[in-house]
Amino acid sequence: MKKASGMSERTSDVVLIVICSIVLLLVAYPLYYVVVASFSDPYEVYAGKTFLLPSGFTLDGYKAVFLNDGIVSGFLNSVKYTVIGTVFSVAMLYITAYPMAQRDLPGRKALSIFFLITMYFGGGLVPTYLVVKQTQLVGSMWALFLPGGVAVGNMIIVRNYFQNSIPHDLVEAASIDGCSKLRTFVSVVIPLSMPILAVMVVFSMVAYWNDWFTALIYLGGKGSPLPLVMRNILIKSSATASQAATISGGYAELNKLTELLKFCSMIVAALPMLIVYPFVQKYFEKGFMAGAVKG
Amino acid sequence: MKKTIGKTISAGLAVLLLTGCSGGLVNNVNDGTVNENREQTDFYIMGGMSALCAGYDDHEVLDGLLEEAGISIKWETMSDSLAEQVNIRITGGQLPDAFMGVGFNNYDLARYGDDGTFLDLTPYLTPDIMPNLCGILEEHPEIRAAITQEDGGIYGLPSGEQMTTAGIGVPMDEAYSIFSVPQYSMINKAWLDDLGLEVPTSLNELHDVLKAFKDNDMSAKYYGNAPGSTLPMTTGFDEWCWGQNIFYSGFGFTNFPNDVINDLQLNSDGKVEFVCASDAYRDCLTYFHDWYAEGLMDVEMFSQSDSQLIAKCQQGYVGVSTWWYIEELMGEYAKDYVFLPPLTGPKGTEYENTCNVTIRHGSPITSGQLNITNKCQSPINLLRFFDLWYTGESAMQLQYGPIGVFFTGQDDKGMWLSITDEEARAKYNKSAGEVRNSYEVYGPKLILAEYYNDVFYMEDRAIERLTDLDQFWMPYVKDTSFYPVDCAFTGMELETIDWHKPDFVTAVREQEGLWLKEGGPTDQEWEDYKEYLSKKCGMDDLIQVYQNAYDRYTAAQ
Repeated sequence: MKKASGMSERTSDVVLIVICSIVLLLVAYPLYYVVVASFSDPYEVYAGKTFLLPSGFTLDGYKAVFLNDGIVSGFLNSVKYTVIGTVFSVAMLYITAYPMAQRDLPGRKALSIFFLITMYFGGGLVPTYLVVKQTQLVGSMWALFLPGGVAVGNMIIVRNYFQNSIPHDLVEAASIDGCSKLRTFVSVVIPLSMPILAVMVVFSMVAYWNDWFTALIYLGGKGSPLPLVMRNILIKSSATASQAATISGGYAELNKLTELLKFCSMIVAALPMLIVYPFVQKYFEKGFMAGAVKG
Repeated sequence: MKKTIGKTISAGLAVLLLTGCSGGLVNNVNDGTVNENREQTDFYIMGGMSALCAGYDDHEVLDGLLEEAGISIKWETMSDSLAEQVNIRITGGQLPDAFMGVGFNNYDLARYGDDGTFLDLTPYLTPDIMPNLCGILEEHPEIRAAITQEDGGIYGLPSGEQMTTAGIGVPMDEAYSIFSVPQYSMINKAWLDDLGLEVPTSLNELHDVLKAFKDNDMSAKYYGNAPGSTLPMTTGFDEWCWGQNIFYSGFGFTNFPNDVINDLQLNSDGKVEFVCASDAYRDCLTYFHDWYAEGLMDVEMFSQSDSQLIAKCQQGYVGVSTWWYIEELMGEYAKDYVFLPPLTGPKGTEYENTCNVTIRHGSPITSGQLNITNKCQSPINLLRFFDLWYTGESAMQLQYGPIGVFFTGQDDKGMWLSITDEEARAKYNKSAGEVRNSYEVYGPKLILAEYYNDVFYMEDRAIERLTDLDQFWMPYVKDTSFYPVDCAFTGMELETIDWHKPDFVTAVREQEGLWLKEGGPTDQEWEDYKEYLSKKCGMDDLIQVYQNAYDRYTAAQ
């Protein structure tokens, strides 16, 4: 085999591997650092003493997290909200994006503008709360899903995908073969749009998993999801250098646990997502590129 | 008969006049009469809670008081995002019977009192309904003054903690609050001894000492830390107990952050001024810039959090810092540190013999900790319950913990003794502070200075700090006037404050930091700055407002 001019394959491999390793290190070290910090004495972390190994090893942070009663129910709640929310959101995306992708939809332009307006203007917290309250949703988990049911940005991505990546001929062929519109959607369009489906699933999943603010506002302390539970644990341990805290003393000790909990809760809350991510990642790249081209 | 009718009519007119004068909405809630309904015994209260508290549902102290009052309460308590939740409730009209431990400020109280959301409690403050509180108010007219709004209404029950030097035996009228000097400056005596230096008494001496710390890399030399780790001096920037403000004493002021407005100074002649527009302030920043430029002040002083400060100090990197007390900040190195007294100004200037600490106010008496709303059917029943809070023993238990848990017994003077750290660890596997935190109730607790003389002893650390305050720090205070935190403002004044204060405080703070970092102002910059404060940030209006409020306050005393 004749070699191409320039570097040998071996050398270029080495160069590539070195470059990739440097990039990997740059990206992975901060993550690794959080892991290390969650096992270290926070004051040593802040004094710059930790690098590769924990300094002043401690499990106090994890102990405080896992001894909390709310952690299991918080986890289950989060799973519940994430699953239901994701299914709901993706279904909403599909049933809005598909009609919008049809060029012969009457009033398509007006509908587009209607959707777009909601992307740029919101009612604000209090008016939204009042609407949710008047629809009797406060305290119900549907308050988490219904008000933001269609993510317009995602809907546009999905619409573009339908328009550009699913050949119109295929849909036509299906209808010639006697497929109803609904059947075409279910049997042709959905299977062909798996990559974008995966992307939307990941987007919704991450959004619902991390969402605590909506839960804080609408659920009224019942059925708190994991991030809210973590936040409460963190706040429970925290004391500001306020007048009351300084009088009774023990502030430095208390504050140490707070700082430690910041790292631990980051790990605990992010871990499930980190585990799920690799499984959907292969769809993720493909689908994301596909939807990114705007038509 | 005629007389009675005449009386009734004039009483009615008086009421009309009063409500008319208050200028507010005439609402059916605050018409100056007592709602005699006594049917409701189940109440719903929403409010704040210490983050470390397990909740109020099975709270020994509260349950006891509830039983005594014969009512029950459904608590909805939270330790964060309280403000958002409360705002949403009030805007959405979903009111509880009362808010407890929210900490409404005077502005909120005026607004919600005016629109009838909060009940005016004035007619309820009678010996019949609230015997304990009325007793206290009679003895302490200043507390009544502090909770009365400008419109004459009282929209909440008083709370406050008067922790003063009276608790360590100083006569009541000469006593000062534990918050008078929040920042205690401290210096590493071991390093000084190692270098053969004395504890500085002037800024010039401190400058040379810091330089010596830096040049000799004392953290590495004395404690064996990494080379170059020495921080001659590190503090926060205008932070409450860990700021740099105490070092400004050499220029005649210490502008401690406070709850009224930063940099406001009350002079002994009763005139208020903003110290941040004075020549001394300008000279001070010009002077300290040199320290900053020489690397004697920590470059991170503007950005670091208190955790970072503690981290640095507990590693033994630091020569000079400030905190509430030495032990907490310095950890295991605490034994090497001593107080660094307030210093005199730079030699060869007009400040050569200046050394003055200006003190700040103590903790305020507020009425934002218990506010009854217009949803409450039987305010009398609820107020009877809260009246039980106004005895020394109740207030003490609500603040620290129940008798039998936190308070272990009484000495021969009848004073309650609190649990020691060792006992708490042996019995509950917690520090005394943690025991206290798990029982503390946020609400209308009024802990009067005299309780420390006849109900229970102050905590050891508080006694220690007050002793230091009295013996070591107060002698440096030449003028003990400070702007009273419970001055009441009119609605218009509150508007002015609300409008200008944020801009003013931000502008001053940014400029202060900039001059410290990049060098003091030129004449032109200084004039521009003062003009900016007057024209854009309402400095003159603010001075006027604070002056007027203070004049009324002194006139009422």
